[in-house]
Formats: sequence, structure tokens, C-alpha cells
Amino acid sequence: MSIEFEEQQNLILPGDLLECEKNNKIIHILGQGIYLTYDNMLYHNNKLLATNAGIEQYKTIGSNNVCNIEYNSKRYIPQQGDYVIATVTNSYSTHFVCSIANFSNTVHLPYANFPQATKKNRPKYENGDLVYCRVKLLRKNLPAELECMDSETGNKDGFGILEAEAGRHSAVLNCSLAYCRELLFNDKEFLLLTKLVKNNLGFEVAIGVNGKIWICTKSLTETLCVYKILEACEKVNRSEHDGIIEKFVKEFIK
Amino acid sequence: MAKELELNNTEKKFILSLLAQNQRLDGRKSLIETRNLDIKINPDAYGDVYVSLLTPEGSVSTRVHCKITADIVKPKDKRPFEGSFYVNCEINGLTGLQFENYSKPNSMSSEGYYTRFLESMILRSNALDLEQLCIIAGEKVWDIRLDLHVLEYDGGFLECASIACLTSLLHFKRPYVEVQNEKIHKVYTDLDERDGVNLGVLHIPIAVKFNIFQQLPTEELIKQSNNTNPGKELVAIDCTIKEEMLSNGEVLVALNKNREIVQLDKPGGVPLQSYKLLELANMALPMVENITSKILKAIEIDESKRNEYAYLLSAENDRYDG
Amino acid sequence: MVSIKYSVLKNLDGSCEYTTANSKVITGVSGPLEPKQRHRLPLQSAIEVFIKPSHGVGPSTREVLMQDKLATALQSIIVTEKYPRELIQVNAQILSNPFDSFGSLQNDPFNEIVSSMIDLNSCFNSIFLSLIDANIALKSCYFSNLFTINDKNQVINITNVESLESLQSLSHKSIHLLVFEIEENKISNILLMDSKGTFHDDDIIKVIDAAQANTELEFKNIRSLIKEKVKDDYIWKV
Repeated sequence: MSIEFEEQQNLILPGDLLECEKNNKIIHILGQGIYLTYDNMLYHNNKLLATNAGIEQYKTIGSNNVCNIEYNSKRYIPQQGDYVIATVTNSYSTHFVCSIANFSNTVHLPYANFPQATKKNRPKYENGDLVYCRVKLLRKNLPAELECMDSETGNKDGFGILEAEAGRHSAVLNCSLAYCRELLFNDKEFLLLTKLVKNNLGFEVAIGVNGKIWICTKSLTETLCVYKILEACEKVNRSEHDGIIEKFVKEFIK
Repeated sequence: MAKELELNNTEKKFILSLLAQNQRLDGRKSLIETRNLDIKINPDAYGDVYVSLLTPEGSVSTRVHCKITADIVKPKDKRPFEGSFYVNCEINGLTGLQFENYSKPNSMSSEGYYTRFLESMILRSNALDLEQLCIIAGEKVWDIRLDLHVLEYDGGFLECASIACLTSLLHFKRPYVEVQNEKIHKVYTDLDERDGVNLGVLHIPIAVKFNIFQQLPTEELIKQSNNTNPGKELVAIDCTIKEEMLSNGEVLVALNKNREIVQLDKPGGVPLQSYKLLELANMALPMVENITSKILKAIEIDESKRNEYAYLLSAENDRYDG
Repeated sequence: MVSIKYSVLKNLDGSCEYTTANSKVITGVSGPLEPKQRHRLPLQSAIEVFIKPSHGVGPSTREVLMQDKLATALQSIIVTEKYPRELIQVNAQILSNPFDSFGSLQNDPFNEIVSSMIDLNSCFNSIFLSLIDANIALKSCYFSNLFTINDKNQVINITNVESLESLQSLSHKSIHLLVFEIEENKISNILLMDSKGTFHDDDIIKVIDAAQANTELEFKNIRSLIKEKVKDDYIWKV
């Protein structure tokens, strides 16, 4: 998944034809950032255009060719199956209203989407609480729906409220979406969190792909230290990460 | 009504417990530490100033652009010898999404309140000499208009804006006007042809905002009001927007470096021991002195850059130096 | 020359500071946001453009006209059907205009037109980079040019004219704003053309030719700038 910047064709701008279109390669699944023109009603010979500036990526999953454009942004748009950290903003008789990005459309978290939900057994969350959940359903004309359990098994599966236990301190960090995705899905190559643990920083972490990282450690200075490291590492090259970790650990812990 | 910025409980708790330990989220190590000040003066114009507050890491957190325009108008009938001065500041969607476009600033909104605070700080304390703006009594006066554009907003607006206003006022040059027989003969709009005239800034008031964080819930505080228990509240200077949202009260003090209080305001919030006000004003004084010298330094540097070749044209020579 | 800074406002999704030889604007784009009820469109996104002048209370009629031109042009660039019932907010703050200083508008009635055209041109280009920065889905790229024809029938690119005096001494006969749509690195359409003054049809052809050449040249810079930006976005990658 490394990104090559050397070749010009890797960078794609809105309105550019996709590489696969030029090579007549068949694509089965279109990912984000791709637009299919509708010049032809039967979707025959219609052009595939890019809509965002980013890097073209091709993958083959099973027998399907997948194409998407990888780009980084600040604002999250809900996608089915994503793990997010939502903030409860309001509660009604059947659902919580949650926000997954400041000033974006709100989403719903129905009480029925909790494990062992009954009419009487309703989760007691307050406004402003952070909840780790998954986007269950996107509907065309209604707000997106979240769930706090694995809907196939009905297990809790680590979803639920993000709360520091007594004596522990938590914080939440806002950062760019691609950085969160990298931390969450590419932990084999992107070793930032592992490096932190190696530096004797023990912490709990929850990463939502909506650009929120929740961390919890046993002391306030440690939480601040982890917060600062994660914040600073977003803006620098990977080779400098070790230096940053060392600097902040020295500053806060010793 | 635009949506408010959301602050979740984790953030709230984290920021408040950091404050209780004399730490700040942006890396400052004390409640009374201010952010670094950066004043940039546009070298191609007069009175065109960018002021920003930088976090210890060096990223911009609050940025204000201030620009002065002057116009010749007829004075008010009641004050024929005085020019006019107006501060225009609208915070809109560019500053942050919590601010609404197309909303007229009024005294209810915080930005409207701060703008009026600034304007009265400059006008009522006579920091700007309005009589100097008179060209022909009762006929023509200068109208000085100060436009404040808030480009980035992360707290510290009042400090940033007052610094920008005063730097801009000190730096601005209005065109020289030649008057003959009670008539305007010529306005030297080209400042290269004839140097402009500085505005009469008599002293430099700087506003400082203190945010008060109370440790105990209000009900308990009222119960305790009989046995005075000072030092229970935390006072922080130059708060970020998130800290401001969590604070329980604020005190605004405008001072100049002559140790004079120009304006003082405590718009509601938690009750405060009265002696605390004096304490706060004293606390603000070194800050104001520091800021004033920074402003003067920035103007001096700009001045020397502009007059780089002035010595070549100067009639002065070292003959008299002995 | 033109200097461009992207991602300058951290509070907004995308932003850009665009400085030409004679003007400076800062723009921000956010979206998709939750719109107010009256802005909500059932099948496409609402686009709100807001321009604040460099001085005075705004937006006045001068800015509202610019807002309308921008909104209609953006309507056909943004993939609005991707964000139904949502809002894309575009904000611009004009920081400096060559005609800001005292008395500069008085000499020539054409000055007022030139001044607003300069702002519009800068806004167009700056907003494009803000849209890219905010990652709003776009159908294509665009680039805006501003040319003037003086009384000696010379075609002059205004963004390169530096001082106010030389701007005023140009004795404009007509002024043309041309926004080109760019697909596949090639100019495909004229998105907007706004001309003021007296001119002949061959003048237009001349201006279009000059603008096309300029667009191809300038867009190379913009492309490399966007490349830089994408690189910066993934700075923590290998």
C-alpha cells in the first residue's frame, strides 16, 4: 500500500479519466472519489471520472477489481460498517441523537441497537458522552443509523460508552481521517502505537474513523503526553516520530 | 441560530483537570502564560496589520487582520470639531462554523459585545485624538474606519483585536490635506508625493481577558459565602475557545502602561471577591507593558525598513557632529 | 507573482490564501454540513457563498453580485447530487484590493468595475483550491483568468500588474473574466465569461486565445501545488 509519488499518473485531479479507463480494464467495484457520468442512460460506455484530488489505487478482492481514490480530509461522511466515536447530543423516547462530526448532519442511535435491549432496559447515557459504535445503515432520506453491538451475534464486542474508570484520565483527540485509518487498519506497518507502548506508556485507545482518537491512561500527565505525541506525529515525517516520542516522554514523564 | 461548537464530556473533564494542575491543553505550562504574539505589518500599505497568537509549538491559533480606511465626511452637527472613528467587526462563517453569516452584530452576541468594548476603550479614553481629524470646522473632517477581520478564532480574541487596532492606528498615515480659504485645495493621496500624517494616538490601551474557573458547584459556593474562602477559583489568561466555553465567568480589563485602568467589565458569571479585581489588574500590568513594547518595536522595525535609503536623501550630515 | 497557501484555516475543512501581484483573498470551504431547514434541497446540496469586502459592512450589492456568479458557476462544478439535503458553505474574505486606498476609485468610472473583477478572479481561483482542500467532490477542475484590452488593443493579464498607478494608467477599453473548465489537463469548456466595456467579436477571440494559453501555463503550477498538498496530507506515511 505504499504510495509512489514519482509517477505523475498516480496523482489524479477532479475531471481526470481513470487509468483503468484508458487501459480498458474492467472494474467491478467503484470506491470513493469516483464518478460515473450519465451521458448514456444504459450506463454503456459512460466515462469514469475522478471527483477528488488524491491517489489512484487498484486492488483485487476475490475476483473483483476494486478501484478507489485515496484522499485525506477533515470531515467524515458516514459509510456503512465504519467504526466511529459519536457524541450523544440529545435523547428521545426511542433513540439517541448523536453527532459524528461537528456541524454535520446528526445520526441516530436507537435503543434497540444495544445488546440485550428491551423496552425497559435502556442505556443511560448523558448528553456529551462519547460512544464507540458502528454505522449500521445508511438511508437515502433519513439520518444514518448507528449500532452498539454486533448485530449478527448480539454481542457487545467492545462497543459502548467510552468512559475512564475512577482514577484514570481520558482525553479525545481530533485529527485527520486518513491518519486515523492508518492507525486503525495498518498497525503492522504503521508502528506508532506500538512505539508508544515500548516507551513505557501504557494506555487504552479507541480509534474512530471519523477522526477521533480516545485515549485513557492512569495519570493526567501521561494522558497529556500521549495526546501531544499523537497530535504532533500527524504533521511530520515518519522518520521523526521516534524523536518526538522521546522529546515528549522526557518533557512529561521524567 | 447557528449550531454551537460541541464539547464532549471527556474533553471537558480533561481540560478542567489540566487547568486544576496548572497545565494547558496547547502546551502552556501555566494559567497566566500567554501565547506568543506575532505582529506582521504589510510593507506596501499603512495601517494594514496581521496579528496572530501562536501556540508554543508555533502553529497559529488566533489570527486577526486589521485595516484602516479614511474618508472625508461632514462632521456631526453636535461636534463640528471632531472627526469620527468606527470599529467594524463581523465574525462570519470564515472564522468558524459556529458563527453565522448574515447576522448583524448586536450587543447580545459576544463578538458584538467585544467590538463595542474595543471601540469605547479607544474612543472614551481619548486614546485617539478626534480633534486632530478636523480639516474645516463644521464642514470637513476625517472619518477613520477600522475593519477587523477575524481569520482564525481560538480564544484570545480581545487581546488580539486590541493589539491589532492599536498597532494599526499607530501605523496608519492619512493623506495630507492642503486647505486654502476655508476650502480643500488638494488632498495628497499619493503618499510618495507628500508624506502622510500620523493619527494622534495619545496612549496605548490594551485589553486583557481573565477567565474564571470555579472549582466547586455554584450551590456550594453560595452556602459558603459567609465564611469567606478565597483562592478557590482558578484564573486563567488568554484562554482557548474550549477553555472559554468551560469558564464560569470573565473579567475584562483594559490598561495602558501608565498603570491606568481604561475600562473594566465583569459581565456576570460567578461572584468574585472585590479585592480580586485589583489583583487581576496588577497581574495584567506586566503583560500590557510587554505587549506595548512589542507593538512599538514592530512599528519601529517597519519604519526602518521603509526608510532604508532615507539617509541618502537626508540633508543631515556629520559635519556638526564634531 | 501569484502565491498560494492551502490549509491556512484549521477551523474549516478546506481553505486557501491566494495572493496575486495586486490583490489578496482568503477563502474557506466547509461541507457537507447540516443546513437550515429553508436551505435544504431534496435532491442536491445547497451551496452558500458569502463574500466579505476588504473594508466596510458587507456583503453589499457589489459582493452579492459576485456571490451569485460564483454560486452558479460552482453549481455546475460540484457534484451536488452526491450531497442531498446538505450544505456546502463557501466563505471568502477579501484582504486587500488595489483600489482600497483613499480616493483611488474617483478618477475613472472603470475603476469600480476593475476592482470587483479583480476580487472575483482571485475568489474563483482561491475557492477552487479550497474545494480541493476540503475534498468536496468536483466534476472537473477550473481556472479563472482576468484580461483587459487597452486603447492600443493590447491584451494584458491583470493579475501580473503590480502597482495601483500602473493599473489606473492602463486605460481599459474592456475587461474580460474567463473561467475555463479543465478535464484531463486540457481545457474543455468555458464555464463563465464576464466582459465589461466596448469590444468587437475579434477582441473576444483574441482574449480567449490569450486566456487559454495562460490557463495551460498556470494550471501546471496548480497541479504541482495539489501534488504537494496530497504529499503533505500523507506526510506520516513512508
